[in-house]
Amino acid sequence: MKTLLPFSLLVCGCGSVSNYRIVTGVVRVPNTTHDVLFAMENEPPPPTFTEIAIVAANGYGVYSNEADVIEALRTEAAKLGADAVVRVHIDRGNVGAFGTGVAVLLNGGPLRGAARVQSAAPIPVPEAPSTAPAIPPGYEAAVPPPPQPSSIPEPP
Amino acid sequence: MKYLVPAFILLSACSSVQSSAIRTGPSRAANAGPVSLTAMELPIGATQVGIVVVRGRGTIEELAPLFKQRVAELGGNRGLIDRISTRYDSQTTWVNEMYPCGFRMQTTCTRVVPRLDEYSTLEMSGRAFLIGPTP
Repeated sequence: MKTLLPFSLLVCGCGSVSNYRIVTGVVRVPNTTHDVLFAMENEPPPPTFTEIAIVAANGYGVYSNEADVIEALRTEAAKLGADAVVRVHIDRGNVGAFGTGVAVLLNGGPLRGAARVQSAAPIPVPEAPSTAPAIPPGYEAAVPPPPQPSSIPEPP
Repeated sequence: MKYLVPAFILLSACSSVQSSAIRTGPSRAANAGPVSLTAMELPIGATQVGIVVVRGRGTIEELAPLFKQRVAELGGNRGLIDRISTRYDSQTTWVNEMYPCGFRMQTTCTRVVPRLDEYSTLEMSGRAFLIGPTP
């Protein structure tokens, strides 16, 4: 019996994934489609979004891998009504893995479907500006300085 | 008593949480009101009052109240969590192991064997902000 217990744990696959959250916004209706986009921490955030919560997942044992942690983050974000998890960060140990991210709602409902269609299409390349780059609001156009009088006196 | 000391050490090790709050602006009175947390949304005009770091063997749900408390101590009312990470460390502990021994009569003997344990330390770092009119 003494040897059976560790053996049974080994066979059944010892481990678990735990989900955690800190609600920082307003929890929405659960996202039943589970269609959640992911953006890693070094990627720029979406242009417009609404923050819902900080989500985290801890995997132990056989669940200490990135795939299970990401799946746990996806499940937790979908429960909160989010359709994207941004700033995803994952740390790994020998028997544990930890992932965290920010569950957000991308503003504009139809964007989810549109984003999925766009992912299969070639990425459009922005055209090169034909004229001088536009001056962002709040900045003044750089005016070339007036010609300075020459300090060297001209010969008579 | 023999088991109380190890149990106390074990419990105190599990609940070890460290935190620090560094003021980056002028000294302000502690905020007695509510503190909210965010990861990305900060309104325009928020004043940074300090940096907060909380680390320990716990979950984000367990460390968040301490983060809020540190923000309030700095006089802030909104905490911006910049980064959450986990550090994994290994530690060798010596444990008693029982094993069957004996030639003619089966008995149980004990021996001390090393066991490699891994434990994780969660760290939340961010900044404290003051939203609204500065006192």
